[in-house]
Amino acid sequence: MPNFDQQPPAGGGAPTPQGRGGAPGGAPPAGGRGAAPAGGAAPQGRGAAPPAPPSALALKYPWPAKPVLLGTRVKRIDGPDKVTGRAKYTHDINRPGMLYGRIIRSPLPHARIVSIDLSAALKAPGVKAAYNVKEPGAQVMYQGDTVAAVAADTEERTKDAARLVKVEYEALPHFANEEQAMDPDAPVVFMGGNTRPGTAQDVGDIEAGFKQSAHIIEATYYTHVITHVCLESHSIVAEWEGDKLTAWCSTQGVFPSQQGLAMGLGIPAANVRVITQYMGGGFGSKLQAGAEAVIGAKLSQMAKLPVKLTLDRKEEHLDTGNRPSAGAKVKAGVTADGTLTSYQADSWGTGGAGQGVGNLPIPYIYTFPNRKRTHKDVYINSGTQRPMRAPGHPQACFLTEVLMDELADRVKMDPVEFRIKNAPVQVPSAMYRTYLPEGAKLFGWDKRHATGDPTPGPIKTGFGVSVHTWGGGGSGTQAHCDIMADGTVVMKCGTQDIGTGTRTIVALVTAETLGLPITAVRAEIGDTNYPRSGGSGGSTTAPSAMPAIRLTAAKALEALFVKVAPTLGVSADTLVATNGRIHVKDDPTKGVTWKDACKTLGADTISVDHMWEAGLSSVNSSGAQFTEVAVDIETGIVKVKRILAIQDCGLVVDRLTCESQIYGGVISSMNFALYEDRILDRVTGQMVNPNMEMYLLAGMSDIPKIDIILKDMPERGVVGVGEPPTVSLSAAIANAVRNATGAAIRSLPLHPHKILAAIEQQKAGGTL
Amino acid sequence: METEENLRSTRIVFGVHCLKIRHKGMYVSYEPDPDPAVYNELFDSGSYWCAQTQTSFGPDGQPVRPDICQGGRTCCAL
Amino acid sequence: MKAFAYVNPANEKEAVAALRDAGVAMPIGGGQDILARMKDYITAPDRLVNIKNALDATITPVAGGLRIGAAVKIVDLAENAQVSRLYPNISAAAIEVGTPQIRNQGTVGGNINQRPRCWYFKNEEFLCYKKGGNRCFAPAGENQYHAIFGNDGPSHIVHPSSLAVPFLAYGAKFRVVSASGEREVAAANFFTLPTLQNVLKENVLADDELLTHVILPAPGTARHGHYEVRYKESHDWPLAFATVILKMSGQTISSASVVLGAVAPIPWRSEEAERALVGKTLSEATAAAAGEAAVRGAAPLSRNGYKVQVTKTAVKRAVMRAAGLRTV
Repeated sequence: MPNFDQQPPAGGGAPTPQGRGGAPGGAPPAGGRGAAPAGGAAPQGRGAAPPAPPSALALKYPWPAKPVLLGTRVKRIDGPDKVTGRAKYTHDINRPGMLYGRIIRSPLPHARIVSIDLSAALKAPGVKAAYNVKEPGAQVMYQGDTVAAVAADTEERTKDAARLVKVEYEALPHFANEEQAMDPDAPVVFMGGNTRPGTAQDVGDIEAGFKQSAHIIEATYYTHVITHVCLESHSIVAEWEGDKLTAWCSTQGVFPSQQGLAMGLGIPAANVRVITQYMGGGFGSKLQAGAEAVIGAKLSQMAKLPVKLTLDRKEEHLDTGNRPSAGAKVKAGVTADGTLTSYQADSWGTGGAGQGVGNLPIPYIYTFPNRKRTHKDVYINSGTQRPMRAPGHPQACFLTEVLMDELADRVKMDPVEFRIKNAPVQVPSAMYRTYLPEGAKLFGWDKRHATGDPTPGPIKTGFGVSVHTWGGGGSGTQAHCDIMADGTVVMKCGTQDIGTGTRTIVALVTAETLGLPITAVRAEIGDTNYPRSGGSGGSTTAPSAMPAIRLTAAKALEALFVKVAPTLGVSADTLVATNGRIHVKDDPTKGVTWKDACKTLGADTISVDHMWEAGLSSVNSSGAQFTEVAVDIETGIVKVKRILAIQDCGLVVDRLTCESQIYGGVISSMNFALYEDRILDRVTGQMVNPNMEMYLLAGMSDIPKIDIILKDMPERGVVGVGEPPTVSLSAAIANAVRNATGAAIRSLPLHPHKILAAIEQQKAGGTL
Repeated sequence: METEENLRSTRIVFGVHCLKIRHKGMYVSYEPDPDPAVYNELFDSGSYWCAQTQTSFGPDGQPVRPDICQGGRTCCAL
Repeated sequence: MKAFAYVNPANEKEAVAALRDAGVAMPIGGGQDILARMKDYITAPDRLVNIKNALDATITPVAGGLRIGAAVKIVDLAENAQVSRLYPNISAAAIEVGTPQIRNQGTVGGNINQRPRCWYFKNEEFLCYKKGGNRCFAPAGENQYHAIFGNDGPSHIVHPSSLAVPFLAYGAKFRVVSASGEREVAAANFFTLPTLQNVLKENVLADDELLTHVILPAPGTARHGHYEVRYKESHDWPLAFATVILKMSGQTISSASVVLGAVAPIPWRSEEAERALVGKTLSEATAAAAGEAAVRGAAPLSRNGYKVQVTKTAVKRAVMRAAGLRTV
């Protein structure tokens, strides 16, 4: 019987870096381990054969030592299209005769559907289709759970008709939070129980470790639930031609959505084409087609007309995923000289209805030789979690890094020094021993005061730091390159640009490889008609796609060399492509322009396929983030004053889009720390802030200066950077607040009420 | 295709789990860790869904999770 | 939203007539509050009466004071030189309202008459007193932004208007018209603490009445201080705020007006703080004492006790601003 627990099997693999069996350099759970590509490439998952040795092509085309475009600041090639509105997002797609779909959702957190009456809706003006998503007798398990759907000829009429669907519910017991679900007297709401234990972990000798400890901290830490808040909501435009479906989806994976639509509709996957040209944010919530896409396609199938179904903000908050909560009751020890000893944690978390928080990598990064853990997944009646930007890491980072500052204080060590002392062994993917002192120097860490700002007056400032890790390796992507006789170059790849700049870097790497300006190549992505690539998640897009693009372009170039070589009277293997010309490597004058070279194709087109190979990408990265905050101790309000983010991502493809990922990640982490909070009414289980007014997000005035230090490691190849920068700032902010006020802040978000309460408690001498 | 997807997952086991269970790791492309001893499913962070319903509940209305998406449920496809 | 008719009257008379016609009619100014409520099915009028062309949109000097039309946009109020010279607390409150977009669209009348920000009121699922239901969800629920004063119920909202607070502090009167005539209501008498009878509204305005003008008396010589505590800098509601107007006799405070916002179902005049100020000299200690006095009668709910501290700070800092002292 395999082990299906949320935690890794004890002995097999710890959820911590220590699990690496003495070589903790790599990421904790991060590792980028697991499944192989969704499509195309040979399976390389666990137990599969090791990756094939590099092909001759891969050996000939490593990343260039002296690149022209790679690592420079290249503007997005579709930037002008986006700012002028020429770029069509899913919601901008309009088809002839198109209807608008809408989902009727449960207002209650748990109920049995007694009856659904579609008759009034079906008679309403403009309505062309309506159906029961769930049948009477079925249960709705959270507010926002799907019940029925309707499509009509205008958006307004659809909304009106949706309100005419009469649903009768029989309310059932519900849980609005973990405490209610964990109550031993609570009724059983979920099959198999309201909570589920994870596998216990017991490594080393926990009690011996505590005996060695000069100081022991026992405290409870907690991070709350937030939602993805994609600016572009989940949406689909579905159009059928006979039994074939074309679906414009706001998705992070055209191929995953293709399979999801096919299986959801019960049709062959070959009959589904998914297109995603532009996407406005997913953060993990768009790695599946989602019920919303299946419902849109089904309405279209029933009405025999195209249907656009776009979720509104409230639906986004309720039913397109969330980041699970995570709590841990922790006991941790440290010796007098600042060496970590034992870490004991009883953790829990909820991912909503029937879903847990999953594998929490605690203790995060640092080396506790003795560890003992229990875990409990808790199920409540809220929308179910979907993966959210570095699943498990922001929570685990907070649970660990806040503790680290408290432990450092006990042994009177500087937090940076304390972290370095307990950091894992230095390897390229785990450079904490380098990044921490470097960041400290750049940040002016020497100006940090000890815990508790001694400055008079209500404004206290403080410094905080935290580190993070992530996987972000690549594999498996396929690509296709056409070079045409007129010099045109088209690179096709079934990856997608989820707002990160993938289209730009596909063009960039193609251009770099062919020695052309970026404007001379066309990148075609975001379509299941193109060669297979994985979903854009796990920071895998660039490390999966860029090697494939590089080698596919190289293969096409080699084919062009073969055509051109005879006209120059040289052999093909002497040729290179630089600066818009193809020429003999050692004699740049002996060559032709790109255009003239392509003329040798005559009626032919070079048309080649290739795929990702090992050697051009790596897995795992590390980073550190520093922040300074100001806390008004008379109002409890925290202002972040400045941020420094140090991040490695191997070979930088486009410095501009890479930095952009870090800005986004850092701001998102700040929102997690200070503002975002999915608040369910504890009595009714209904969300009180399903909007962007009372669900707070930083505006421009709330975001301070963010300095980014990108650590170039071109020798490692491409490493994804989408997730790592969003992990650690929230913990750094909490540490800075503690440094400013002297009050222990052990849970998020850092709302004024919590700050004021912590300050009160600290005044009473109750925090340490 | 379903079979292949499941074979590729390091946590969901063909022949044990329902062929319709999904998680993030099944849909992104990344290198396996060379060290099997440190196996830890990064993307398998507790978010599961059913490929048929495209929600975290199976066709029978019960949650989708590895511990319960096995034989014995009416909707389970082995 | 529910389909509705749109009426575009040219003057006051036509506007009030349109309000009285059959069905449920509601005035619309900038629409920053009502349109959102209509989209969320909180409010479903049969007819919207546009007041932007019907009501006065000017600021006019009157007897040493000002007469402000209800159709004046909040941005124009915030930027008006006479307002900032005579009533700096009004300018200070106006510039903090919403976002630039909201201030560019929103009107003075709309700000005064907007409905509560309460998340139970603003979400359709919660059938609360203010939507004709028979309970207030706040006491047992998520009440971190709810009232700490005037908490006798049945509703525990905080009044949402930023402008109402300084209007009240400066002794404003509101001119109100209907098809049957007009009246003037002191701002101090306009807003109503909830009872089971009046809980569907936050003020005395009848369904067929329009607030047309805010009439501000001459301010005399005074010191002014306004302090708003908000969590975010951009687009957020205040957690609490205070407006303070002090008249001086030499170095001594001879009279004080202290009104608090976002703490009670109405703009909340704090006579306790006023008493703590009169007869004192301007100092940080006086300011702190006023802050303490202001919250002495606070009765917070289960999760908003922190607002007592926030309110105390707002009063203290508003007094310090009036005194010309640095607040932080």
